[in-house]
Amino acid sequence: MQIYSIRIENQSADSHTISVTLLQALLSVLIEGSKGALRLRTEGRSIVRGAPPQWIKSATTFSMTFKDKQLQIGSPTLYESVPELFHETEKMEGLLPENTAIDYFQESLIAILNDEPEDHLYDKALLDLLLGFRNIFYQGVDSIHFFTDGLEINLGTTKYFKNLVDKIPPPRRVKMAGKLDDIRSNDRTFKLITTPNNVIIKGITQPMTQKEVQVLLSEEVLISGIAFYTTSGKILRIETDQISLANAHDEYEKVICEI
Amino acid sequence: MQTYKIEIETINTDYQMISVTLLQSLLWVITEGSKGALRLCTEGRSTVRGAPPQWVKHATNFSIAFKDKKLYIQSPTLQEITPELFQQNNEFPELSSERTSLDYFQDSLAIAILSSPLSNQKVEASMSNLLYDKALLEIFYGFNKVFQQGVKSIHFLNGNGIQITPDSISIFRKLISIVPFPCQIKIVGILESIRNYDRTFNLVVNDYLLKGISKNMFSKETDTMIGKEVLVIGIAYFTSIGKILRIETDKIMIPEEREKKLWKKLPLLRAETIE
Repeated sequence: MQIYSIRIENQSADSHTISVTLLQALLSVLIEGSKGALRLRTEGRSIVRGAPPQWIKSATTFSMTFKDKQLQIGSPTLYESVPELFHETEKMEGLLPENTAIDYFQESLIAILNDEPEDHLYDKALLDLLLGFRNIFYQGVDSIHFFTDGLEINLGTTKYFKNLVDKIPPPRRVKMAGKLDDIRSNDRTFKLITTPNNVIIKGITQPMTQKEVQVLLSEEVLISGIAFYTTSGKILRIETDQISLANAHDEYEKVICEI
Repeated sequence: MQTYKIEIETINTDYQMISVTLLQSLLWVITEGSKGALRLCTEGRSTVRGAPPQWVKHATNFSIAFKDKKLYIQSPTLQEITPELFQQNNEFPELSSERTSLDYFQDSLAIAILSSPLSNQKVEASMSNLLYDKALLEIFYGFNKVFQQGVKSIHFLNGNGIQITPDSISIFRKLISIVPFPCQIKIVGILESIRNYDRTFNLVVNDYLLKGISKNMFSKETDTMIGKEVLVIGIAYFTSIGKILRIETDKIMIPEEREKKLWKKLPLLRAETIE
């Protein structure tokens, strides 16, 4: 279990109690943001319609206390909350067992605030979630100081989030060619190494049988689907509706030429 | 400002930290339940689609602290948040300005548990049933989620000292299941008062005071009917023992002689017997 401190600067003279509306708004951003940050690292998308996987719920089961204008959040490490993630053969690449969901939330927040080229650490849906901070500032809060790194969020920061949201290109239909490097059955994610420039692209497929996966894995394929972009206009993920073997297909050549 | 103490008995051994899921579930029941209890007192219905009136939101602006497995909730009194509602023309004679929304929440909670046929303790029949409706019981049923987080009991240490346990959940479920369905009604009674603020009215039928809500703002014509015999046509909502809790109407009119005779009697639906 790791403990994180969040300092809330407001005009309230009472440093031992916290407004329920404020707390609910803050916890909502923190919990949903942590779920989103985790999901983004594993699936390339922070939010999907429907309930999140059980392991994400377990990883974001936090505890808390409030004292002297400081909210202390207790978060289990991924290994404590979902040890099986690190035992199974299909383990979650990119996640460290000693990290917590809040660590990934914090990492995304830093990437956003530092305007880093690491813009694959957030997507539009995650930025929309962070706009929920506005509800906190409507409760008389001046600023929120996150964690030990001294990240400060204020009303101005939320305007910056909104600007980033507006910068993200809208999703669009694409066709791509490349080698299908990996398909994970538990969340239907895959990696495509593009032809000809060998860029790794994350994607999510429609449900496939084991047999279909075996036929396509490590082969040159053509995929078509909807591409979602980062703020810098790079592809963040593709949600496919079709993956087919290329096999010297005419269209394959055509797609490569277009790339 | 009043401070309330709630003791949370859990299997967790940490006295200083509280599970966020548990806290969110508990605060949801308390906040929505307090809104509902207030609204029920004034409008005869705990929940209506859409945002609640601003004064109800203000009355449920709580602050909290947590220490030694106890949740401390601060709640403003009604006088503190909406003094204008209690000055001169007291808009809400049903409410006491020195009380808080949490007081009304605890009243409703206690009555729902103690007046249940499943309870060993009994309260006065006249008080029972009118302090909760089906929608408020459904909010109380939200305690279920609190118990799913390893909680054994929730003890409200102020006021009536009500204790909620997993058995209370069975009571709420039973009460929800026996509330009769709403039905179309025609009733003749004396229109005692109308309130334009929330479109509510009081109707006296055979010495029984009935609350009603009009779908539309009252017309000038309705104003002239105060103190007179009127015919109300609408949908009746019932308590768990089958008494009318409120009528939601779109028509209040002067009845004809024939209608006066026909619609004078209050229907009493027979609620399903609790085993």
